[in-house]
Amino acid sequence: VQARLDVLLGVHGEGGRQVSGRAERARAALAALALVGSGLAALGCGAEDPTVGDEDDIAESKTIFGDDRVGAALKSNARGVPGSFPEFEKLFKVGRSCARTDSKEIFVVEEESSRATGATKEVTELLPRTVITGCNTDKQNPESVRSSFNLMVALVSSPDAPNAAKNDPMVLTPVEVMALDDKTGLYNFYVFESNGAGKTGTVTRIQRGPDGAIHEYRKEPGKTLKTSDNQDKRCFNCHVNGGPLMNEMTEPWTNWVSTHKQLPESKLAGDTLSIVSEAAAPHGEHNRSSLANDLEQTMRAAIRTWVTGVATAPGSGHGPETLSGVQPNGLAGLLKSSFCETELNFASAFDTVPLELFLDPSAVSGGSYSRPPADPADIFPILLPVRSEMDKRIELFLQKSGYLSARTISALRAVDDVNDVFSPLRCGLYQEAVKDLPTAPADVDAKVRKAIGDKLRAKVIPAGARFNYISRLIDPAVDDAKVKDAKTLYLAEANKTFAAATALLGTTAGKKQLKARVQARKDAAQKMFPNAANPLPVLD
Amino acid sequence: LASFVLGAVETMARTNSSRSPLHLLAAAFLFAAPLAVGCGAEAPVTGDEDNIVPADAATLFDQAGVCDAILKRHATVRDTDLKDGSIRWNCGDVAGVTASDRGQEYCEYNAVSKGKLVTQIKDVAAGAPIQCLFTGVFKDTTGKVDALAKALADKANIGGTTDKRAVQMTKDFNSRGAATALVDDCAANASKAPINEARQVACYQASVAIPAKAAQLKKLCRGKDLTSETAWKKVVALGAKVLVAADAGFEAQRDIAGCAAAGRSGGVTWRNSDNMICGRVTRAAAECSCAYNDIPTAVDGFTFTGWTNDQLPTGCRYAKVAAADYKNLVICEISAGERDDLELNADYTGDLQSFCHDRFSTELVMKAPIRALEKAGTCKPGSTFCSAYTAKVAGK
Repeated sequence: VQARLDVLLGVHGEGGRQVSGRAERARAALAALALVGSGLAALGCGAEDPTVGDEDDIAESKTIFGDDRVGAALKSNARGVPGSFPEFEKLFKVGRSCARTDSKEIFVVEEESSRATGATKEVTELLPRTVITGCNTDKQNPESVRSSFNLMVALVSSPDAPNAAKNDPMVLTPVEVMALDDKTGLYNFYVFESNGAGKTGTVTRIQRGPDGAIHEYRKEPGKTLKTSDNQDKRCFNCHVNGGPLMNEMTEPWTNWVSTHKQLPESKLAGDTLSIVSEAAAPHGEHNRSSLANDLEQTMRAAIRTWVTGVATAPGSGHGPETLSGVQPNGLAGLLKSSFCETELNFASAFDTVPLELFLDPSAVSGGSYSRPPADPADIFPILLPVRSEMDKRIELFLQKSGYLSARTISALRAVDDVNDVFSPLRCGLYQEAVKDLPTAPADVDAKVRKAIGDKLRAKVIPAGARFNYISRLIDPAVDDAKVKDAKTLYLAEANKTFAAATALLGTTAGKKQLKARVQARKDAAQKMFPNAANPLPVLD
Repeated sequence: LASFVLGAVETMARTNSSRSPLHLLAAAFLFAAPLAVGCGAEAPVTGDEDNIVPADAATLFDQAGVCDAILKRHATVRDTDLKDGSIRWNCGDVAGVTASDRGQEYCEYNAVSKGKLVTQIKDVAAGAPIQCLFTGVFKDTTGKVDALAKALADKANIGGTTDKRAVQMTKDFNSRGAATALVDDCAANASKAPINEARQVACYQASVAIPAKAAQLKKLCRGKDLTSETAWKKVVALGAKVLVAADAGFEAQRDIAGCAAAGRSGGVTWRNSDNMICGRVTRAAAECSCAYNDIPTAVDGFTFTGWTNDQLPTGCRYAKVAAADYKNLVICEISAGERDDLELNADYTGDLQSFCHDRFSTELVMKAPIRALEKAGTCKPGSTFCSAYTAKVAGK
């Protein structure tokens, strides 16, 4: 554990907690950093920054960067720190400098909001945001997708961007970057800021410690490394667990440029046009595209690797690192993904309606349920909050690690088979399950089973096929054949429930009922993330 | 009579999902009409428990909705394909196609391990690799399967003796004959569009565009004959309009109308492939006077590609045959992480074909070079559509 902590926290700047600048300087710094996120408040006042020479610069650079693509490029190249996206893409050969001929891996999403301050601010016009991934030039190799997800950049637009009045609203500095660490298997978060075109940029690394506290390490060229603690969660406001995020990760990838959605014919110019037009060329301007269809697969692979770890680094990854105490919240935190929700994804209807509007697909897995057709004249839901890929992945990790058996997981889902998220019943079991949590994996599974059994005994679930199925799932004395029999009966019962639920699509009153369900979920999502800085898409 | 029977068999072959050739022949004697039957869009699935496919749209109004969704799903590539003279659609089956009916889009797919066809994870040896093998080789392509199977045994491909059922398509409707018949029928029927067809499309579009009047429009149009001017006037009063070339939205409306013709030309109205092919052929024949040749026997099948610049999705590659990419067979590798997960996924452990569908088939794309089938010199430029489709400008 200590070795892991050393790796994670190996960024103790020698001048740690240096106080910087005069009040005026602090104000300027805060104004600039407002674009990054919530500001480096702890960098407030005090004496002038001490300056350092080239050798010190290099020494400090070696400590600030992780074992990732950013570190590989900059640890011994302190003067090479980019300050803007054009400089970044040239250095890392990503974005418009990606060598691929079919895609520059520039994915575009548009919303009537800006995230330029870190908080979501609704605006009246559509503004493009982009995710730029690391440029995979070996597409035939299924493992090579890591070249895409081991370096990811987010660019946002703002009506306040320097060239916004010229239809060029994309903010090109600061640049927010996630890089997968080859040793920890976690993402390292960096922010690069410009000190003027062609000049060495300033880099800030934002890290979450084992206690959940957010630490920042800021390196301006020629000055000593500054460390600070931050009350704001910074990147972790949105990247709740510290992993990658794609809200609309399933077809039709609402708001993303995809096979479904072209880049709107809006008036864009300058770098914004140059960047976003890489997503698709509807009129054949070029033969490249970066469609959300592809980003979905990249993100799924990214989340899988981030949760379970890098194959070449045993013990790496969010799951193992959390169990070992290097990441916060421990086993209880991981278990929350099975009972409640730590993140959300958002599913939308297109020609069919997401199953999650009617039931929890995981509860009836193997039941071959098909999404019902949508009414073209009344397509809903749009952006229905659903169980996240992240929580499903964490649960799978717990299963592989032996903390939850397949049967226990099935029982947990069946406890509330119509709510994949925001289930008071399932989430209500959580506190009891994690109270005095044992450490041995089999004991943890037994404790969860007991918590479910207690609910059954309290008659919270009505007698019937579902009750019997759950009872058998949590009883180790019952063999798999009997569980299978019970599941068959349960699925027959679930089919009726599903048929009744989907029948609501056929009537005005039924649709009203379903729409109320959608709204309730959206309200719950807003409640889950009450702060202005949050990962939610615009849900209204 | 023989010609009639054969034609009917081909029509049946491309419309039926799981019937045997003998059954088809018998049925062909009974009737050869397009199978515009079913329970309507409101009834999502039909069939027995082993053969589940979506229902055909019951009305033209419903079919306009199906077409609208299909065209929107391909919106980004529409202009590129038009210029390219080709049509693309997902290899992946539409929602509602399950079990043994998978493989409706001139593309069949299976999970294989060392060449052995595997349907369940328990069929796979511990630690053995799993690949998804996609074939677009027409069922009636002859003299190829042995050589292809042999080539697939190479380490650069599957690396094991590959089951021939995974090498060449097995379903009757996945044949060159069926595809040729579809093109022929759509071209022949192109100019026979009943006035009701265009009006139903216009009514459907109005119902989507004006939600407040959607229920009224649906009631006036769905399953009704709008040939009657009296009936149509009521629909127009609610906002429906059959657009002319100068109107905004004309191209989109014509695309939907072309697609909606698939039903009367014998296409299966829920398949992406039938709707995409017939939609384009119908417009090209009706508006540009295009006529088409049969698909040559030298063409083994529609080729695989991706959505962008003819590149396959990540993790997929063409099979190498005689040291060259063979574009009718694609091997998609499952990563180590995915392989590991498969053991624990209740949706896939017993149905690896579903995994291949969900993981790869929606990004794996079939491409039909429609322009290459044109009878030389028949297509005339002129309209916006025809100039784009023919890649020519009128008078030049």
